[in-house]
Amino acid sequence: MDITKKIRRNPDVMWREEDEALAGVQDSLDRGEVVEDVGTAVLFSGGTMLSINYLGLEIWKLCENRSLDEVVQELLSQFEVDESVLREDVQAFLDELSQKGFILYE
Amino acid sequence: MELAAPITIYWDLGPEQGLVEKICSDIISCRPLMLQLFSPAVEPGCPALAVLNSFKDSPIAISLTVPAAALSFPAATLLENYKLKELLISCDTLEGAAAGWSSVSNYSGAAKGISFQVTRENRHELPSLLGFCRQQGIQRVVLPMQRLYNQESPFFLSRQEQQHLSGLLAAAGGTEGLNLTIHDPFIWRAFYPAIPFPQAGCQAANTMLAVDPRGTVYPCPTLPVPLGSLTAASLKEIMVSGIKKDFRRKLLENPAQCLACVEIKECRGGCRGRAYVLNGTLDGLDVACR
Repeated sequence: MDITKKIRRNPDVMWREEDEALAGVQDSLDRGEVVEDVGTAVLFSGGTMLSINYLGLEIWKLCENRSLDEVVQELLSQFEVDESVLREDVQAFLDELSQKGFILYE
Repeated sequence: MELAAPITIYWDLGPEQGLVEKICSDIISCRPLMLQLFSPAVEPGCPALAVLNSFKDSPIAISLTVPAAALSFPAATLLENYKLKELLISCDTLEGAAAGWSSVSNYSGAAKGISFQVTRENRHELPSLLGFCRQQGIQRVVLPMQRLYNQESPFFLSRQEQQHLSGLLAAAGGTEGLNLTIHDPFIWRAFYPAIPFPQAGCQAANTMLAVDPRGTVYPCPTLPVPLGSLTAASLKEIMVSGIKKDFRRKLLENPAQCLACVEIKECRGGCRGRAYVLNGTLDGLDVACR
């Protein structure tokens, strides 16, 4: 995949942040707990539902006319994490979204 | 994934306005992603237009299903003033589909499609229906859930009938070019024999809830177990109630009669509503698997 290509959300995807779960995750993060298995939003399109965790939600919200590199840079300013690890996670998540048709590359 | 609030609400409207405003407000506050609205009529002052008006500023996507006979001119044009994700013409014959499609030919609002209620009598028309849709450029086809809270007799195809239908569908060009929604896991098997049913088991009382014309809330249109009434409680209260949560917990268990079956991992008990109606318990098997 060309990492300079802009990412766009498929406009057919409906999504919702799960307020209660999100509040719980924020409390857990404050306590330094692991939250990667907790769904904080659901994406739904064409009969396919996907539950995404806190990092997934942050990536999803950035998927609007940004390239992979720009998404990674935005996230680096929010999270204290090794860039190569983050890039790998973001790439894997975007691959899943793309495969399900939830995002498009332009 | 177990959700705190459903992403889809099915609401079948009746002829009366009574609870409409209250139910709209309840639904909006529960933030589903989609409202699947069925209306028996579209005419000035009808409940459907009141609902669409209530949702005009909401992000909730609305799919409206209306019987073909209720959409003759100028009914369809009335809908052009409202925000809809899709307009589905409800029918149960190929002839009805053709008449309904012709009646919305001038409608230029939302995307249009066909909602075909499959029955034992009309199932042979399915291959021709798909052919008709392709010919007319109709991409969207929904095979809706049976409303078993109306005391209808559950419809099902046996395994042999599914295989027969599968052959007929393949011979007629299959599903290429169509955006199909199929709720019945065993009818799905007739259409897509090589693809597992996409939903991870019954989603009643999880990703969906259903509201009947009297305001009674059910886990799903095919599961006639009332969870509460909107005349006495809010949708949110019903959604977080012990009755709803206990029922969902029971649904997450595989039916006792299926525990030894090798297919349980794939079918997850099939349509639990149909099995419930025919067996009187959630532990019975769905006859369509035989």
